[in-house]
Amino acid sequence: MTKNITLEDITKIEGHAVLVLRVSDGKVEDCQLRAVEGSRYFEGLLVGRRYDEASWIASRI
Amino acid sequence: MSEKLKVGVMDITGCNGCVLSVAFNEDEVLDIFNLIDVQEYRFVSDPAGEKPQFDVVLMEGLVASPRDIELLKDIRARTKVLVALGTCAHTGCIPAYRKWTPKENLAHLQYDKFDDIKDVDPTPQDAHVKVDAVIPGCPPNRREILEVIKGLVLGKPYKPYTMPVCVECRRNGNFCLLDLNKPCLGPITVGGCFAICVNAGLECWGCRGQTADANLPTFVRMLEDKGFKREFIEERMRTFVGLKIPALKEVMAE
Repeated sequence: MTKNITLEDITKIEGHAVLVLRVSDGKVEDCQLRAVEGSRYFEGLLVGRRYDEASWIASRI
Repeated sequence: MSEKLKVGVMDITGCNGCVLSVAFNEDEVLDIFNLIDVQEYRFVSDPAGEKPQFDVVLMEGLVASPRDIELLKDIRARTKVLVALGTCAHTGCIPAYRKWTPKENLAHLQYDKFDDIKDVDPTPQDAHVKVDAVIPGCPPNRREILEVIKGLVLGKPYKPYTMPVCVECRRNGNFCLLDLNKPCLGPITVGGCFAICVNAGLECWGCRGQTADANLPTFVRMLEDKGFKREFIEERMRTFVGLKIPALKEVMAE
């Protein structure tokens, strides 16, 4: 018997994620962790900034 | 005492640091939870049940995806008081700085394969829904969060701090970083943070937003006299609160 288990909003983590499991006869066949957070583009925002500004900005990730 | 306030502590796109700051009141957190009825706070417990109604919601984060808009509007419809928690909620914070970042720096980072992580314009919460109060700061001051909750429980709205960072900074006996030629934005920034950055010898980046009477032209000129380039000053001022200082464009054009 195959069963799908979906955890819509995982608690006690930073950010938002959805866990989808497909279980067949007690064995996990497929496991997906979906990040549903909006993109913030920190890697791109750091380009061109002064080197001594990076710690201020990156610490907000 | 009448019925306990039904409270939610939630977040849309953000780092969850603001939500965590609520729990950083370690000595008081148990007392708070006795005074209020926490319906939803994912860091602490599973949600109470199907779509509860709230008296107060502390909402972290900015709007950066269609899911954020949906969630924010849903919560707004179910709460009496919506408190924007932290700089992302207040101004869009650093993620909103991408408005001034060249597109080519960002293009390769887009995950456009998946529908649920499509982008929308990075915007603060008040661009989408009515926000009743703001707790500014990146991260917000945990004591201030406590004061806001206390005010709501007592029915006496918390009066936000409006003086510049410099007031608390001088009271703390700090050496003025502007005198040391560091680009400190303290004079034009709302305090209430006890000048935490300057206490550690780091200049203020203005994360709590500008004071109502900030004199931008004079301040920019002063930084220029100290040898800072216009582009640098502009970048620095926009990093945290860019969307809330439209006047900067005119000042820089002069």
